Amino acid sequence: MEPKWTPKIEARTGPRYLAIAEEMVAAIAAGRLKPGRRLPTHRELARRLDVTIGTVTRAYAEVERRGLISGEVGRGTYVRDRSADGLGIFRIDAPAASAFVDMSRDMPTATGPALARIAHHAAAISAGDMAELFACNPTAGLAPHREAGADWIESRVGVADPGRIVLASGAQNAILLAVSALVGAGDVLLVESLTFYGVKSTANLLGIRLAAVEMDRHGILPDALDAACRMRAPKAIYMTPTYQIPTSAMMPLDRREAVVETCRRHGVAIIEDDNYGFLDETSVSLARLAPELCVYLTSMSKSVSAGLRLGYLQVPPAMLERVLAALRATTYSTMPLAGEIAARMIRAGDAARAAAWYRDLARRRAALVAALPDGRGRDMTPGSSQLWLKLPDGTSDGAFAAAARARGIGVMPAAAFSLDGAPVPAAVRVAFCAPDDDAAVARAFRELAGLLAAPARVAPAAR
Amino acid sequence: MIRRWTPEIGARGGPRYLAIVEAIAADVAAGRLAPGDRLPTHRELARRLGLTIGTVTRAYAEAEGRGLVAGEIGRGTYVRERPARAVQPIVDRPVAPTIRYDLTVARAAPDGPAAAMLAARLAEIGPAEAARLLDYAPQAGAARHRAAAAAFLAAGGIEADPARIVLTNGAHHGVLATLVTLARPRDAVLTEAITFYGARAMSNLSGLRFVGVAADREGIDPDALAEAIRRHAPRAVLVTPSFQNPTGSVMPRRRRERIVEICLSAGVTLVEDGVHDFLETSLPPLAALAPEHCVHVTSLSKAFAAGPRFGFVHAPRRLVDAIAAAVRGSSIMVSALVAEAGARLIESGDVARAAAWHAQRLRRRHAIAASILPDAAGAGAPGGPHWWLRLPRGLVEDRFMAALRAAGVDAVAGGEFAVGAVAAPGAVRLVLGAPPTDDDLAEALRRVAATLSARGRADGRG
Repeated sequence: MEPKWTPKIEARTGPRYLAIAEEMVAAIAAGRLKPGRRLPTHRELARRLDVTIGTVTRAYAEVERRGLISGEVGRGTYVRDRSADGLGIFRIDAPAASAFVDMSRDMPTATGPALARIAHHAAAISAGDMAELFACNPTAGLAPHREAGADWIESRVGVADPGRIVLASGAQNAILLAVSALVGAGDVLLVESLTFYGVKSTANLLGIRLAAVEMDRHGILPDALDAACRMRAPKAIYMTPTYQIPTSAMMPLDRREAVVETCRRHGVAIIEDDNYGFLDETSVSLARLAPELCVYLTSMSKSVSAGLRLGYLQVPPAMLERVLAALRATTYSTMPLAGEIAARMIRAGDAARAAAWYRDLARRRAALVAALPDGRGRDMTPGSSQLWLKLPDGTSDGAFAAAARARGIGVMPAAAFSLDGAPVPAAVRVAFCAPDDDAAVARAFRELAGLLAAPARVAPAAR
Repeated sequence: MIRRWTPEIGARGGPRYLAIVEAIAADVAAGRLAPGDRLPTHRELARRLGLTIGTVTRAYAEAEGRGLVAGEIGRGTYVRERPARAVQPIVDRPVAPTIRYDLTVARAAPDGPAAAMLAARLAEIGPAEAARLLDYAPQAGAARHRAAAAAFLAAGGIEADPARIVLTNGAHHGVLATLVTLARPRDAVLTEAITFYGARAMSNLSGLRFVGVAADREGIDPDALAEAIRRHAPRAVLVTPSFQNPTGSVMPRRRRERIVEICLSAGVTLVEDGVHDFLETSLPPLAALAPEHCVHVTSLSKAFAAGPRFGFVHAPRRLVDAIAAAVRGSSIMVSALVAEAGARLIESGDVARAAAWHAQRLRRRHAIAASILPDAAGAGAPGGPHWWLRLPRGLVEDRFMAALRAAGVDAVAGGEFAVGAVAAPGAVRLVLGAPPTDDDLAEALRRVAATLSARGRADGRG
């Protein structure tokens, strides 16, 4: 057992519970209280500090609310391991050493010809154009911007209607709008059993409960979905049927039809994240199958540039008002400048060229995936820009990610995509199209192959 | 029956039945199919498209399910009337053609300097720099952008530390990110009983419980605040000390100190909206009085223009990371291209020049209003962006608004700003900056005055 931790609260002013809480936060931040560390019982700490048990309980509740500790009935209170939770992992830090090849988040810095074109269009907005952009900004976005968005997503949604399109500040913001419009605090949102970590942040932010639906290599299982709908009474499901995040699974048409049918039967709305839809021209989006049930969202982040911070939603008429109210309540309106630059990119054909460039990049780098030992790249859906790399038995995702990091390679451990308390598979997600430099990615894959071949080099997970 | 309509399905991928449905929807939207048009029989369409009858049957059934067509046995399949459009939020309500003067929401001044300034700053950023910026930036915003934000705050009297700044997509976003950091669903947040913050929308979204606290001409009432803190144990107190929206109140120094003292001793964090601070620079922001207990939220929306959506939060150190996480969870980050333009606008003095221009314009307009409208006592502090028109006792908001709209002027009734179960305040918000010219404003206000005296007389008699 580690030495006793007793917060020093004498010097702190204000309510005692806050003083304890802040000491604890500071100790966690400074590493004096490490992940996994068990904290004193409420009674014990109350005795040591000479405060009431209620005060300590309130202090622990405060720190738990901030996501730093978690209590389990009968087991005590522990400092949480935030390296693998949605909020902790979702940091976007300044790039580390330039040699670092970051394939953890799929936030492409390899955007080929797009950036120069964005700069060109941004600089070409005249004072008169700008005055028009400023003149009025409807909540959903300016009409020409929504029309450009409709053109952009038309091939994916079948029927694009500018009247139902809403501009958002990127996909993460689009997810927030859709989720908050459809799911209330305390309600349940279904997700795939491995899901985009961004939706975990959103749920955390909104006080929404997540429940996982079991998947196989084609995506979620209709029977499991049916059971989850019956047991959990969810308001909506968030899913990525096309190049599933993180597994890259491509859901076949009959499975999509079954999913849609199940959701219809239970009156469960669908939030379809189609961020990777542009990588694929043949799959049928859920929005095409069930336009009345499905909030469709995508962004310019992968296809054009993440720095633009622009996303599009297409919303069923019956849900439109709620999505707009959510937008009013969050960012109030989406910056018209981003909508304008994106519209110019779309009209000039620059957006399509950028997307094609990225598609080619994904195909080119797939050769690196194919060359991985033991056919570990076998399950990746062709055309994907992310690899779900299954690790040798007994290798922990966190330890492997740490070992990779020590060699200058960023990959995302499976825990980032798992719900709290769920079993974490031995795998990492490799966003191999994120870095700019082909040679650096090739080098990184050689290193990863080396780590896979010699699991002994991967230190066991620290507990 | 229409002239041989055949859906264009060649270019549409996926199942054929779906392609037919989408072609019907597209043709209805484009007017190529009109309500009442009869579609080909299943057999006929199947023949023309070279598909099975089953496929066409499935397509028509799906189209019927989507409300595009209606089938009647023995009579065929018809195009239905277009479904009604979804309801738009209040701010997006189209202005009725009878409204000549719209005083509902702030609009960019057509003769203002901001648009040209922003265009120039954007053009100044070269392609290489833009490319660098468009790569993902550190979450809380690049150091340079935060430093510019700190300089903006310093000009407003806050000893700002760039390390304590988080960039947001506007002030509203900053308030939300801060509140969800401080409070969880069902926790109480206190704010002025009459406030612009769409408390209903925000609480729908976050599950926060907004509780209105009485306020007077000097802003939120200290005794009522202290009492509400005791009763509701709130996680945060959200206030606008300078030019509160919509009442226009400006908190005097003494009141500011009092509010800070109350929140400090109760251990409740203050969240301060400072978007209009540039109009009143002689009073200290709450964040200057209580730097470790106050989150200051602002943006360039009022001092410069709303278009860029460049906002920032200056927070006590203990909250910075959590607020940054809330920004990530809600929008990842602010576009660095925008932040760069914003930083250049601040550094170059453009923002200060634009702010001075806005302040002068609002002072002028407030004077115009004071010369036309009666009872300036209820109007809000001079130089403010809103005129809070208190209606005579007995004149209800709805009736006055109906008369005002009949006179060609629109505004927002005070009841729309009420938090929770607070009664309508018997007032109307007039946005003085909304009309494009001073003359437009004067004419609009003359109509307001005429409506007021006519309604006052009518109600007095009734």
